[in-house]
Amino acid sequence: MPTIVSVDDSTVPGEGSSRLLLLVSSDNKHIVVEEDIMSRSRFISKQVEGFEATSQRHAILLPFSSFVLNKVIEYCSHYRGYYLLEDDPDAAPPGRSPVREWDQEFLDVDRNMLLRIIKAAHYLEIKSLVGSCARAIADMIRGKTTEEMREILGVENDFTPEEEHSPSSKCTG
Amino acid sequence: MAPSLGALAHDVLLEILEDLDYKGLMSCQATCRRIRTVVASSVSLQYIIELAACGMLDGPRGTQRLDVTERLRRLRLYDTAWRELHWTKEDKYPPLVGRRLPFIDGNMLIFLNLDQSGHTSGYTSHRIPSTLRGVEEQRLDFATKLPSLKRIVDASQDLIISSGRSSYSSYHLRSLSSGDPHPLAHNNGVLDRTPERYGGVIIDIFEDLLLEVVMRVWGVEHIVWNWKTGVAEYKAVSLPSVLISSPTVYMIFPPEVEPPRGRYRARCFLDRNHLLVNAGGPNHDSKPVGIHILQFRTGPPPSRSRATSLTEGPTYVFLFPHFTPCLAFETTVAAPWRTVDPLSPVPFYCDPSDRIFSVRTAWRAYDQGHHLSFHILASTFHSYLRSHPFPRGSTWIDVPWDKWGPMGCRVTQRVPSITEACMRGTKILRIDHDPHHRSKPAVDILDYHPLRVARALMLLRSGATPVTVFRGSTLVEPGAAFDGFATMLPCISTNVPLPDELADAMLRGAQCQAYLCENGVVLMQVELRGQRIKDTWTYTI
Repeated sequence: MPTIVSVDDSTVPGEGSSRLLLLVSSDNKHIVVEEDIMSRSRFISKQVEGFEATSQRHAILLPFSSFVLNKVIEYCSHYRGYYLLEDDPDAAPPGRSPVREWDQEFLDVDRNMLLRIIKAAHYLEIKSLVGSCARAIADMIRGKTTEEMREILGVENDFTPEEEHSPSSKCTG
Repeated sequence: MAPSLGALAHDVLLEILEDLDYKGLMSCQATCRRIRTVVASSVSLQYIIELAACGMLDGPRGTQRLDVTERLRRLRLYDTAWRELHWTKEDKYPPLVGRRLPFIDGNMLIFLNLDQSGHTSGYTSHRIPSTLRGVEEQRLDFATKLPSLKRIVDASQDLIISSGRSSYSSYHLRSLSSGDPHPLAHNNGVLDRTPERYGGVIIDIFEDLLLEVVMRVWGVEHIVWNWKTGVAEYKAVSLPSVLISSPTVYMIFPPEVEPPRGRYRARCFLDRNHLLVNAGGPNHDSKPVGIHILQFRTGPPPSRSRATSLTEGPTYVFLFPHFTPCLAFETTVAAPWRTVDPLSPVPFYCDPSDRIFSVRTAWRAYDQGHHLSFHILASTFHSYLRSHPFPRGSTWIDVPWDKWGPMGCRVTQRVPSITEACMRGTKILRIDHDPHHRSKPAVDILDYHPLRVARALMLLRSGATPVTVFRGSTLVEPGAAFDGFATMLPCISTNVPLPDELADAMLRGAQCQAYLCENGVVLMQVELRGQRIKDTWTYTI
């Protein structure tokens, strides 16, 4: 029997509030969240559209842990009702805007968590969060050597010795 | 299991990589195959890499609104264009007055005009056209009542500054493209120095800053002006002992050094945060004098609104004694060929990938006959500063040559005979021919931007491009192993035969002067027994 976790005690469904969604994380935690909060996610929006078309609502299964999911929900709650240009599918692709201060603090986590968040954000199609995470990761590896980067990014050197020393790794142009 | 970046989706990876600069990209794509594939498949990432490899920066959006694909295409065209030179048929540029070099900055050539009594009556600015970069040709005459001692041109800021000989009290800042007072300059384009009541010379410009050198009885005063606000932001007065012969020719010595006798040449340059004085000794075998660096501020420039009051300097002074023994000598020795200033007015080069501050200099040995020597220092000044922070207080520090940076090197080439050598940006132009051997004269353009060189080596290995690579004075054989440019800086050389008319004249003993402009124009002036054969041949990129 899965446990049901309310994401925030204050968001008790009441009059005027939006409908609720049931999200199920990979560790089988059930999280109830307002539809309105999650509308930033294109993935969730598409699911909700599906519900409306079929008039059937069901839990949305997500392939990441409740720990990561809660983090994403925290992000979405913070920007609830805000317009972020990156998340507007109709807007022209924005240039590099300065990183929002809140995001910087929010993403002040270790690299494993950061990689998990960016994966989750990509899965949920939250462009603004993917962008902020990408910058945080880029900041982590900036100025590092190749070896240090492998460690941070958790990738293996899968080059053959010839490939590794081929020009494209050193002086591509 | 710890998550891995390699498992991320393609566009997520792209998003991360797009945030990196050239260096980060190069290191990152060497981590694994996946990332290398992503980098190789993205036009915008390739553009970042190739821009840095060409030593260029991305331009403003401009009116053309070119997308990245088009920018990359043009960049590649630009990069190959300098190896495929085309000589133009007709003269495009005004004849040089009294053999005075045109002032060259970016794609602007500034010619001096003299009136009948031999005084400066104005300038003619000539913008070199380029279809590739969407630049149209423009020619503009500036009449000026102010005879100019020194003019500073910054084509990137559309700015020309001239100072008056008579008044000594003001500098005139004008727009190069219109001739009107520069719209961003304060006080309608007149930088008034009357409160200070002295005369100096504007030596260099860097973005908003102007470097003025004022000769005093007790030495040299360096003043850094902000030409947009008209405020003198920094003043360096307490430099060590100074030997002066004119505002542009002066030397600075540490207190314990006795200044040697002779004629000197020194150059002073401005960086965003530093001021450099680079000085050469009286003759080529004298002890090197060195470069003096003064850090007058740290960090980014102060904001426009916060106009700083005059700050006393210097903060720190550095001495690099083995910097180069061969900067711009006064060539008073009788030479077998005519002496011209072989130095470009742009000896500093900023590498976008690392704010590298490369200081370079070229020199030809004029008394040894058939021997051309280039001393090139492409140095990572800022990376040096990162590993060796400035000490507290004003200190002289000896920095030996090998500690200066990873790219310092010396290129010496033996050639049969040299007619001309000049230097611009990352390139050195050399025209050599030997009348006795009746070889066909040719222009050699040596390129030594380290990243460009690395790139050319790659092409060389693939056999696609006819480039010659020198490593020091040794020719690098095609296919030879190349372990980077950490210790030695090779040169790429492109050889271009001269047009027949010019080559014939040269074989009959004509003299020539040549100027290499950054944007791919070679200006040549050829004279045979006092008669002008041809003024200019050009190629444009």
